[in-house]
Amino acid sequence: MTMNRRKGVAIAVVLVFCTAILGLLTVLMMNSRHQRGSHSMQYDQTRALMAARSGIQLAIYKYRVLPSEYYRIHQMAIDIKNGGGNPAEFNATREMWLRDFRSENPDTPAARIKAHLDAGVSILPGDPPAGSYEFAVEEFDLISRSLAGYTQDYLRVRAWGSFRGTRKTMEELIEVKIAE
Amino acid sequence: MSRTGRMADFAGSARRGVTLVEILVALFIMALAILPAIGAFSSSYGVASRQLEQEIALKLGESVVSVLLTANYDRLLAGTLGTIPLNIQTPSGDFSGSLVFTGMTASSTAVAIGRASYRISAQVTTLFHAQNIETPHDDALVFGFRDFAPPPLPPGPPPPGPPPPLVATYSCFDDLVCLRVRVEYGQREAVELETFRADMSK
Repeated sequence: MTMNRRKGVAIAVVLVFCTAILGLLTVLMMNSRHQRGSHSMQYDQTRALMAARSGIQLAIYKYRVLPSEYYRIHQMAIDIKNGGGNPAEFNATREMWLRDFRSENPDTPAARIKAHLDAGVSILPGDPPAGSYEFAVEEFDLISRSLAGYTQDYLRVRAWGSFRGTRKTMEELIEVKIAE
Repeated sequence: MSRTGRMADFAGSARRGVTLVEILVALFIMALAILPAIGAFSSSYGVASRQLEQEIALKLGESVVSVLLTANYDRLLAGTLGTIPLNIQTPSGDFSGSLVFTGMTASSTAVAIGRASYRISAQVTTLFHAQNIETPHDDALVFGFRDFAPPPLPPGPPPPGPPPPLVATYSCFDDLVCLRVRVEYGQREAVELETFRADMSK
């Protein structure tokens, strides 16, 4: 009887150990899978950020080559703020300005950049073949900040980029000098 | 020897034998449980190491993209950037090397950070070409904007309703380039980052 009882205890102890080890293993595997997920997500986020950066470059460059055209939009925004102007006309004009920076719009510089970026994505089994990158500039405006004794104007550009559904937003503030 | 003593000896030896079998069975079961655990630990360690290496590679890639975004645009376009020193700090160590441009491509020597070796390469390609007045082409960067100039009135009665806003286009006289940076690390792993740069110097 004593011998049988001891045998049972030994097996029970082993089974308890095994259960504990299996539990540990499960936690470890889940942790490992989660790590692997965040591993690729970080890469996707960086690529999304690079796409957003492309949109910002495009937007700043357009402002540099067509400043007068943008100042008209800015003036319309000021007029609306002061109670005048036509909001519908302002929105239509602003949308025309921003159209070039949205990769979803066909026949735009952004669409061509997206096509170039998509073509460079290495296609692995299970990857979507195209349409991986998207980006757009969502905010583009001139802002003024009062500093010690003078006012500084900035161009504020906010863009988002996405890669395989992982989206990142970035904002850039560039000092500009506006002639009176 | 008495009968009682013989029985006790028998019982004792039988107990010893069973305990040995028990230990062997227990060891076998433990081995079955522990071997996959060791494998899982090793695999988890591998994943963690690769993640750290990729993190460093991404940091290096982003830093090189930032360097190329601020490099002289004309020289970048002409492929005469030459050698760009790179001193990039990462949590696991510093990348001290240089990116040597040969035309529109560049490469660095391999630098070891931690247990992995990192090699950076870069490529500059022109996606949009500067417009040329003498020989116009369709490969230039073209921006659209609202045309505020009053449109010429067509002959005949004006169409009903407000006229749609006109879109004017502007063809740019600068190139727009794609900067592609590749960081190779580990055995066969690599990260590739791409962004675009316009000429902001003028």
